[in-house]
Order: sequence, then C-alpha cells, then structure tokens
Amino acid sequence: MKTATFKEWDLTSLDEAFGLTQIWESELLSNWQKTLIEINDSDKETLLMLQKSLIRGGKAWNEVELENKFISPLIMIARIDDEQIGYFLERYFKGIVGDYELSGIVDGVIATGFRDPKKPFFCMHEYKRSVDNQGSPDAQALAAMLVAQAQNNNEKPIYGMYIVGLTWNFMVLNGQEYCISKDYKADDEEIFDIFCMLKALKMIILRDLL
Amino acid sequence: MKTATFKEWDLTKLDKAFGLKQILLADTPLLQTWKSLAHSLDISDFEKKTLLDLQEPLTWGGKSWNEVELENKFISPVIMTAKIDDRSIGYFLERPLKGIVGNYELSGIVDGMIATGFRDPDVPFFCMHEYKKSVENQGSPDAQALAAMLVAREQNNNEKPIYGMYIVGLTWNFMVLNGQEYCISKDYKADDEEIFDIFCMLKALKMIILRDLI
Repeated sequence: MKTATFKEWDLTSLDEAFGLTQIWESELLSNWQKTLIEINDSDKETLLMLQKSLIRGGKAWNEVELENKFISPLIMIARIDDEQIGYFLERYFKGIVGDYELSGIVDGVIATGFRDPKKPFFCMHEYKRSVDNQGSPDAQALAAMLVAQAQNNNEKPIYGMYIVGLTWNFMVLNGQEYCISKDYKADDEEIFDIFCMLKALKMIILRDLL
Repeated sequence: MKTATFKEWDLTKLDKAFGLKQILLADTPLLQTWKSLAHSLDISDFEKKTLLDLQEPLTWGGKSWNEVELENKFISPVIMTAKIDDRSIGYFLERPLKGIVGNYELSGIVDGMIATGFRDPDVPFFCMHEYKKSVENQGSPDAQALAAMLVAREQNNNEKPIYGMYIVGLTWNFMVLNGQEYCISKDYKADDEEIFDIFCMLKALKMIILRDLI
C-alpha cells in the first residue's frame, strides 16, 4: 500500500493512479447549476456587504482572511448547517482509495453531524492566488473527494469546490468521472450564482445524498 | 533586550514586567462609555435574524468545534455582520505584530486585529485572541491579547487607549488598556441573549475608533 497526502497530486497524476476521467458535460453539474433558488433581500444585502470588503482588500488578504471574511460567512448565510448536516473546517481525513492510503487536512467539508463530521458529501480547498501553494487546488479537492467517496462506500456522487483567490469552481465526482464547472467570479454579479450553488447544494444533499 | 512571544505571559507576569495594573469597571470610564454606547444601539431585524441564524449552529456544535471552526462559523461572521470594514479600517486575521515594549521585544501572530487599512493593517486599535476551551492552549488568553495590545500601543506611539477582546469557547471578554491600567469586562455568553450585547459592543467599538482613535 502506497501512502500519499492530498497535496501531492495534480489532475493528471490522479487520473492515472485512480483511472479517472474528466468530463465537460455532466447532468449532475448542470442540474446543480439549474436548481432554482431565490435570494431574499437580506441575503442580497449581506452578500453585497461581504463583496465590498473582498473587492477592496481581497487580493491582499492571506488565506485565513479570505476564508474568515468571505468564504465562511457566505457559507454560513447559505444556512448549510442544521441538526443533520454541518460545515466543518480543517478536519483530518484518511482513507484507502485503490492502491493508496490518501490523507490530509481538508479546508472545508460538508458532512452529516453537527459536532463532528461523519458522512462527507462535499469537500473544498481554497488558495490565495499570489502565494506559491503546495499542490494544485483542483487535485487537492478531488483527492479529498475520492476519500469521501471511499468512506461512504455507495454509488452516490461526491460534490466539491476549490477557490483560488476570487475565483470559485464547483466539482462533481460520479463513479470514475469528474466534472469541473466554469469559473465563478466572486467580485462581480456571479456572487449571486455562487450563493445559489451553495443553497442548491444543501437541497441536493437533503434530497439525494442522506 | 529580552525577546518574548505573546504566548509566554500570564497577567501577573505582564503586570510585573511592564508595571501594569488591572482595574475594575467602576474605575474605568472608557469601558463604561463603551458599554453604555453599546446599550444605546439598535439592532435591525435583519441583523437580529443573522445573529440568531449564526447562534443556532454554535449552540448545536460550538463546544466540539476546533478553533478554526469557532472562528469561521461564528466569530468572523459576527464581526463581518457588525460591518467593521470600510474604506478606512479593516478586520485582519493572523497578522504578525512585533514591537519593543520596555525591556522586551514582543512578537507573535495576532488572531484578529482591527486597524487602519483595507488591504494590510497599518495603525492597530484592537487586538483579539480566541481559544477553544477544551484544548490545552499555549499561554493564557487574556495575557496573549494584552501583550498584543501593548505592542499595538507602542506602534501607535500616542496616548490613546487600545481596545481588545479574548474569546474562550462561547465566552467573550472585552478589554481596554489605557496608560498603565487595563480593565477586563464581565463574561458575555454567545449562546444566550448576550449575543446581542456582544454584537452591540462590536458596533460601538467601530464608532469609538472612528470618533476617538483615528
């Protein structure tokens, strides 16, 4: 059994090691994107308030600031947390996938549980663009998603996301295939699409994954 | 010149090394003013809803969360909802702070800071540290915040007070350092109706910064 951390991969090496294929059209992703979500006035006001700080300083912030001042408040106002599922940060994940034991700290996980994560549905990683980070963001998120898939040990898809600076990408891993969304920019009107993707994610989890 | 990090202190050691004195609320007009300003503020329905939405997960899981979760899921969203950030001041996290205070060079990473600047902190007014109650942390939370506040004051090089806060689990304490005297507020519990007092203390802090410190 080989061991590796999430940081040691890029998409090509993941494809080769685990027989994965990237696809560019995915029903699961387009259903996620097409889910109808209404944004109420108070959510809109909060999003624009968070965006203002992001536009002013976001490119200078460190990763902790990006996460605390923008990403996490946005996830919290999307009301992911309830008594069944929660948003967890910096939790250690380990699992056997193919010939590898993969492990690492996941920046963000949505899973069953409100104290500690149990069954993971969604993994995310974020990066600051201007910093030389270890690993590649897409592969780091996908590696964590592979562990989540192995842990759950069912046929259901795993959702994910990676954020580089102000750009968000959503992902779906289904069987051996994964699809990565277009770029969503948090500093323009796409902030509302990002928010809707998060709200829709919760609906999908409650409807299809629990 | 001796060197020390913020984590190496407790309040007694800070008192001795820097000639500080802890005083009570009754003797601290600055903290009294901060509290009464906070009392006078209204919370909009929208803010109230946001705070209650944030409090719910805290009540469910807050005591099990790690420090990163406590900060990301509760502390920072509350601070962002208080709209501290504007063009002149900002809330910064995990920034290094270093300065010479008395015979010491004090340094460390500050969990949270409010300072002039929107990209990077310039003049600091407020320092905070947070801890998870159930974990054995290095240093004591009150002293770690106060040590950072001492450095903030040296950097500013003026007679103005420095404000601060430390959070242990669900309990928040506010602080003021003025001259050689400092005062620590009563405990504010984030899992009951005191969440609104906490929020008003943050809103009042911004008003004090803009009115008296800039």
